[in-house]
Amino acid sequence: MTIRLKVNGETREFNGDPDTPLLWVIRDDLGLTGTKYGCGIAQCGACTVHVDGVPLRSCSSPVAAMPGRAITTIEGLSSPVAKAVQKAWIELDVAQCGYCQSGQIMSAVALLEKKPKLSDRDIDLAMAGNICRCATYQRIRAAIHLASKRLASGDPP
Amino acid sequence: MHPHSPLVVRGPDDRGASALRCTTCHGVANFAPSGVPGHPVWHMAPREMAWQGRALAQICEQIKDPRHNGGRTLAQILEHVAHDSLVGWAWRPGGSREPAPGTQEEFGALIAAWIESGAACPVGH
Repeated sequence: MTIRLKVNGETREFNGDPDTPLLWVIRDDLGLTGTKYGCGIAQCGACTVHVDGVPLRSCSSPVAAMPGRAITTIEGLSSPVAKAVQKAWIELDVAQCGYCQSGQIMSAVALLEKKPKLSDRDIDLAMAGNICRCATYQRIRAAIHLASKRLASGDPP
Repeated sequence: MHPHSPLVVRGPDDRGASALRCTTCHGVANFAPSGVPGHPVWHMAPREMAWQGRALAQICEQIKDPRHNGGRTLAQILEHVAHDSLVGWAWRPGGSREPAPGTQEEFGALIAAWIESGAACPVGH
């Protein structure tokens, strides 16, 4: 059966098992490999995408649930908040191996879209589902605060 | 029992923190490929309904107390436990999860009988 998806603003089609996790459709069928497989059981956050603007673990969602919804992957981030986050990430050299960082960025962008002004506790609670084996957590936190500060002061992204 | 992994909190509306909502991971139904359980309204019961650390007598009294049971009458409590599908999930959790003992229907019958016989609570337990 053909499933029509809206991914990063484009209409794409998937012809396969409707129970296929969205993650594999994104990576294997649509060729968008920025979203990573880390665990497959919603424990690591590496597979995080946005669906209708909110984070979703794509390893734990069937593609059959996606028609009519707007999916955004790391490749498709473009909002002012996303640009501020990406800029902060680069400036503070957040990534080490980089594997978890797509998911980290997706969660961070969603957090700042909802809570532009935030505390360390807000960051702890929102980012608790994104793990980093290289332990870049302090730089992730600093980058989120930096992006928040820049967005508040209206700095160009 | 063990803590939820990843570490999550109920948040202001019992549905999670900003950017880490229950629905970030939990879908409208159990999803076998990841083993993540699901339901259309997956969420925590309100804080005032918590049972942990309470004695049996306290739990019994709070089930009857509208301040702790979502403002429900006993008839509404019966309807909730006997027919609510998220409550009912406990008996059909799927995957390798152990179901609650009995069935929701049996549980509803027990609650109905308890209500009919005066909804008494144990003393001092």
